[in-house]
Amino acid sequence: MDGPRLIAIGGKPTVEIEVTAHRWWWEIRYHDPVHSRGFVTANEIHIPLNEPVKITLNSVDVIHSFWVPNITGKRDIIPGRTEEIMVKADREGYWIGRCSEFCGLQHARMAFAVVVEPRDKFDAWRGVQAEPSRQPTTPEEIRGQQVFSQANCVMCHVIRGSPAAGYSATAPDLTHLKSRATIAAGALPNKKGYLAGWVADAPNLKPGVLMPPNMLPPADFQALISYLETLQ
Amino acid sequence: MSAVEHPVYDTDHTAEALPSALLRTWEPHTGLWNWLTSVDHKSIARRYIVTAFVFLILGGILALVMRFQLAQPEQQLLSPDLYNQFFTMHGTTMMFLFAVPIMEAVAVYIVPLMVGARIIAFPRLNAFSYWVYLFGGSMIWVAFFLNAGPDAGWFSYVPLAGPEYGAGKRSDMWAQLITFTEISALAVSVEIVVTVFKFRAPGMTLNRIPIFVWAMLVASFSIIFAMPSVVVGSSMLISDRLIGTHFFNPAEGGDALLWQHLFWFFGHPEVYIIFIPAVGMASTIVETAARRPIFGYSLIVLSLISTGFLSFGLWVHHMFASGLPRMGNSFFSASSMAIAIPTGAQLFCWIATWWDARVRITTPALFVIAFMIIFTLGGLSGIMIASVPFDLQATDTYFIVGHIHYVLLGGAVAPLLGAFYYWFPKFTGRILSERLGAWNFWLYLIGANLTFAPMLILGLRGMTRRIFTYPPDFGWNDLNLLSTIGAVVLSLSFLIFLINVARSLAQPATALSNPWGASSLEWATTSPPPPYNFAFTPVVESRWPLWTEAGALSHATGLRTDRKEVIVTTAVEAEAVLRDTVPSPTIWPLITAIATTAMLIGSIYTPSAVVYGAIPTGLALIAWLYPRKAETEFPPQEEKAA
Repeated sequence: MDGPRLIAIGGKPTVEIEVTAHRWWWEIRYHDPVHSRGFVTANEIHIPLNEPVKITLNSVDVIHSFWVPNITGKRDIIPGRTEEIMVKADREGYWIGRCSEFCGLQHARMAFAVVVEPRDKFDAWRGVQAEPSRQPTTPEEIRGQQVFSQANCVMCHVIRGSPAAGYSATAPDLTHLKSRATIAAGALPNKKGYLAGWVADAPNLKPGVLMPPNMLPPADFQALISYLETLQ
Repeated sequence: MSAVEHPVYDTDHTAEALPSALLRTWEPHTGLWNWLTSVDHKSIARRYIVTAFVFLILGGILALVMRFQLAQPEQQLLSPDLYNQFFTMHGTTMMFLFAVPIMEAVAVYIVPLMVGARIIAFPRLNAFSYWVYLFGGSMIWVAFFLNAGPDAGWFSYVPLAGPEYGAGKRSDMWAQLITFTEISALAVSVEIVVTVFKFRAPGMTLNRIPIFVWAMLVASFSIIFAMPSVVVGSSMLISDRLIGTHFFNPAEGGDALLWQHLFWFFGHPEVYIIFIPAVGMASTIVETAARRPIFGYSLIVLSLISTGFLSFGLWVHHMFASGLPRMGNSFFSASSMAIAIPTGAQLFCWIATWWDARVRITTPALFVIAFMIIFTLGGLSGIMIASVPFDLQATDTYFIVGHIHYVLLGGAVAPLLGAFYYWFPKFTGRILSERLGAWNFWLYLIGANLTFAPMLILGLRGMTRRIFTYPPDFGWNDLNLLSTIGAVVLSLSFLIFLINVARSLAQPATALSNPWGASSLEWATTSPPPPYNFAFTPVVESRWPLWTEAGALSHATGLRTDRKEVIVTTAVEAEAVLRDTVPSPTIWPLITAIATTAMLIGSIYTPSAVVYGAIPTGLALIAWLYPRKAETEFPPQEEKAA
């Protein structure tokens, strides 16, 4: 029967991704049969071209809705329920997704990206993401890594391969922060200036966000930003 | 009531003396006391209408400010927090404090007159329902001005509106407003149903009821069946927030999706509770403008009834994206498309009525034309989103915002404005300016399309709803600016409407009884009608009494003039069976409403307010219902004259 094809994407999924919606960002978890090859990232999903991909959706707080207009229709993410959707993208590109169920103060700034790329590029990206973070080299970067662990940052964020490793689901994983095009769920470009402004006073840029302002001494702040800039 | 031993009947007076005798009996008080104690449906309805229009203006101002915020990307006129309160208050005000009450208000005024009755059934309850509505609406707006306005959307989805994420008392205010609305709307619905079934003029059999009355009957039944669902829902929400129940908390075995079912099982019929009266108004205007009987009376009545039924089978189309089983979605998709059929049938009946007729195009008729144009676009976009795959892309985008505003501005506000022009002489004794009416119409037609057509396109370009701002590089800038310009034009239209009303009210009341040459009974009495509506209760012999019995409307006699009496008729054949006495003016509905308000507002803060607040409410109810000697002395007697 050809019928079901009209309403569902068939085939065994080649990639399984778990998306957890938070106010107001997206936690992205790639599962792998080899446990150590699984990893967590944020606000950016990569999928291989022309392959069925299973996306599991959960919410930790209020109702959100997963929507990538160019790839798939909406699916509400209701806390207490796990939703599964299958997607298959037949065109390469950088597609914007947005939360489309009103979820409070920053519903307007809860975007994510879906990067559709050929299998080899996808595998390369996935390989990099599964790696631990780059080690700091210059004295300033090393100082920055220490600042990260000693200041508030480590309370919520994780950087695999650094002293701030571990598990956290309260804030985006920063292991490969600079591999992403935007910060703050699509709110700002991932450039050094924006990143510094965000670290200094996130609530001013995105009112309601849980990340507090950081009152660091200027030298520590510079070191921290330099370190974050190395997280390719 | 000293004349009890010597009853005085209407036939005991000369034709000249009868009105003053009736007036003495029907309006014993004057001044402020009369205003506070009045149980006259026309007096109550006028307040209802004025109050609802005040809420319309308030809700409209919110919309205009939101449009200015969205005119350009990344504007900072409103903070995200304020924006969320604005759109929640806009939706809540327009749906609960304007659209439903204004339809009820017009019905409270017009339905008793249309069926030839002297009163609305349960006139004290009618006064009570108005006060409850006024106090509830005032509560939410005071809360808003105190920065405690609800901010979780007019639909208040949990858990965002629940105890964990809905901080402060904001969502409690919203949930309690719903309680006020429930009380008020249910009371009015019962009054209208009973008025239609028991107070029709003798001879007005079921198939002679004016179409607007049919529409209100269907809408009232819809309210009676739809409201219990949101009563349950809002009570659960208040319980979750106030006393720590877990109806909607998945962590404790509750279900967040349950709220959506309860809300939309009410929320979708709600749209038709607004729309059905409006099509009734349009049918009335169409008939009068054509100056001949409306085409397909039975078809229109059956369409109204089937719309009422179908409206209860649509609610899941608000939830297509929530991951319900596909078979369920398919059913609701089909029923959502089916509702276009009865609506389309009515539109064609109107066209048929006007076809080849010498239609008198006055402002009411112009607004019916606005209805046809704007609503048809709204309806067609509605059929598009009834399709599940399309809806999964369009839902929660500006396509829906455009759609609902097309439907409501076309299918509710346009006929309402038309009805206002049409019945304004009956409400006030004054006719509105036709010249300003034409301006009002053209600005409305242009403004509505200019505001909402760009929204449909914005939705297709992916602009999600309920966002306080948007990035500049998504290609949404120009259309948003256009929409804001449209909103200004639309505001001008309403400004002209208000100027028109103010200018007319400044002039003396000189309107004739029947300025439009209409067919139904509200035009058989003076404009505005006296407190007792009709000196003699008319007797109806056709569907168009003022056309077929022109100049010689027969009437019933034998009602007393020394106390308020009305004729009660049978539900189907409208045969006169009883003379009944009418409750006198009283302050107790107001006091009961104040006690109810205190109880409801108190219970936002502490559960014990429900217990202690019930005491004054109960006492006030006892005083209200306490049997009075004058009303119990004579049991209702068998009707002897007709």
